[in-house]
Amino acid sequence: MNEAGILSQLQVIFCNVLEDDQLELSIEQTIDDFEDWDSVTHVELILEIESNFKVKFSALDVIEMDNIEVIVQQISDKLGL
Amino acid sequence: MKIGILSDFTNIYLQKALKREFKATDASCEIFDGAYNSIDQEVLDATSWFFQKPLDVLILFPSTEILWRIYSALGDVEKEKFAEQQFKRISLWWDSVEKLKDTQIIQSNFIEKDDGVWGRVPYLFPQSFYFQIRLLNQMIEEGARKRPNILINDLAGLSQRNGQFSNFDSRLFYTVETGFNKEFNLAVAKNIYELLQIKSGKLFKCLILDLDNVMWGGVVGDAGLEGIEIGETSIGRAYQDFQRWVKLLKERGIILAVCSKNNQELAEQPFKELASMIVKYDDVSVFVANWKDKAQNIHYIQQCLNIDFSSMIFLDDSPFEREQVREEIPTICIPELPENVEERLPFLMQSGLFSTLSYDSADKDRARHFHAEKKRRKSQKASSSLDEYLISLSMNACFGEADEKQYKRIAQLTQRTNQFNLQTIRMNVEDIAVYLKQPDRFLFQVYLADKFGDYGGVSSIFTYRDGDTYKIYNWLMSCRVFSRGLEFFIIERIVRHAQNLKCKTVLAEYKVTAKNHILKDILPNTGLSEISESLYQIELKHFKPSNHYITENKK
Repeated sequence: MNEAGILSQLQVIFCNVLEDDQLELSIEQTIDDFEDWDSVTHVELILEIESNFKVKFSALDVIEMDNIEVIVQQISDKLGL
Repeated sequence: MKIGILSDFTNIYLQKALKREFKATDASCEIFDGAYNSIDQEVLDATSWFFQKPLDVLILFPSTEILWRIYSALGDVEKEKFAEQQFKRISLWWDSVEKLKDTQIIQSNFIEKDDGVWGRVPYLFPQSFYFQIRLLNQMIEEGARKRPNILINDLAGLSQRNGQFSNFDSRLFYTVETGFNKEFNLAVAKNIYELLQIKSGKLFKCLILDLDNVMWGGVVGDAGLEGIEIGETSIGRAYQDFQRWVKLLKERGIILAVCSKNNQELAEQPFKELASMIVKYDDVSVFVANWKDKAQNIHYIQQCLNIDFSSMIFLDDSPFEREQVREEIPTICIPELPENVEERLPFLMQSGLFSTLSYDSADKDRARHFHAEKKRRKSQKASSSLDEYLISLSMNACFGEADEKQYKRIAQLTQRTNQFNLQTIRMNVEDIAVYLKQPDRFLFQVYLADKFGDYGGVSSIFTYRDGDTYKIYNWLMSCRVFSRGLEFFIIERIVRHAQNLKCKTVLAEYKVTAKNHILKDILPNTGLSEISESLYQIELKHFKPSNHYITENKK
């Protein structure tokens, strides 16, 4: 799986968790670009990402994953890509 | 249905799950949440919100984790009365909400977690957390039986059922008549084995602790007192809970020692000055912080305490240090501490390391006795086969001129490194480019790897030629690679480079700061001798390389 592949799966997860079908994800977005991405939905996003990609993040990872680039990076690191 | 929740944890996810549950049966519910972690204040205040508007259900939901923090701060006598005290506290809640005639009260009990401070036999000790929390659950059940408006949300039972579900294989039970699945079978066997170990008298008496990234987050030598994580940040709280646990062990007679590669004064500072540190300086019986290798220092600790290595546990986050100590002192117990701090406490709590069959005041005073010894003994030298160890690491380093791709990492080193930092000049990527635009400037970057892995770019050297003098403008090295002779390897290359440029001397200026005094000892060992205040020099024709075990990797 490449970056685009990860991104398209993330897109589905973000749409579901943030309850927004129109949402379009891109690599340069951060937590500030989404009104509904708050500390509560953050955890839900992380848990969904973990079960979707079958990976596990540490507490430090979770804190740092507040933008799409880092999320994609973390996923591909954990998957060993 | 109107539901109120009072808890001492973030219950927003529970709220969402509850709503989902109600939605599935087409019932609607509205959930109201109390202020964060203020059950006592809100329940006991007769003007609280849930007394104003009629709720159908009020859930009182304290958690085991917060309860443990309360428990951990108590003295021995109070610990034995902990369940009683907490039951009184909960009874007061019940008295207060009794006047809510039409509201169903749901009281959660506690997951019966053991903190491992008494190993595999907490039931022997009334002051143990496990003993008290089980007692408290019984009290809650008994109390609730007498109060018809209270129902118990049986978390203890629920968590047990979840466990049973994953431990039991009913297929096996009805075919070969054994219900334990494979994993649980192994766990039971391990438990029995460990119980017998206690009987045979294998006890741990001393816990040796590394500091940076074990007792707090970050490196105190680099980040300073304000920069380390301990206390009210998410990661800081994980370190704080770890310290609570260490303190509990100390109170039950386990001697604490510190073994850290650090400057002694700097290492002691958090213990003496930070209120958020749970373990205080006086809790530590032997405090060793220097730049010798850890095995050597543990020998010293062993001499101070005069107990067997086999009764010591060494906790360190670095696989490098663990392996080195293990090779030198095979009988010491060195758990493979999980890399992530949040996983460490659960790992240690279930490790069963601290089992004991008896405990009396002599055990408790042991730590105090050793503390008096502490002041008498000061650094003694212990021999060690450090060289052998360094050889076994098969270290290789790459030394070369930095290109643009490396500037980011080098800038990082100038920002973060405080201890091995000759001039403490902070630079960003642009500053580096500007520096190199001047004539006769050289910037070297050093990479180190050993059998444990690759450490990446760990040292940067800014230099320039000034006539027949070769000057070291700044030199940085990450503290992760101290005490391995890497500085000797680097100086050799610098000298070679200076010779190629037909220079006669290498000159370095050392600007002393509050954090970089280790260089005072390191520089002369590399061959740089002090010629005047803060000026160090090598005369190239007299240069004798220092011994090291690093091979050059030219990539």
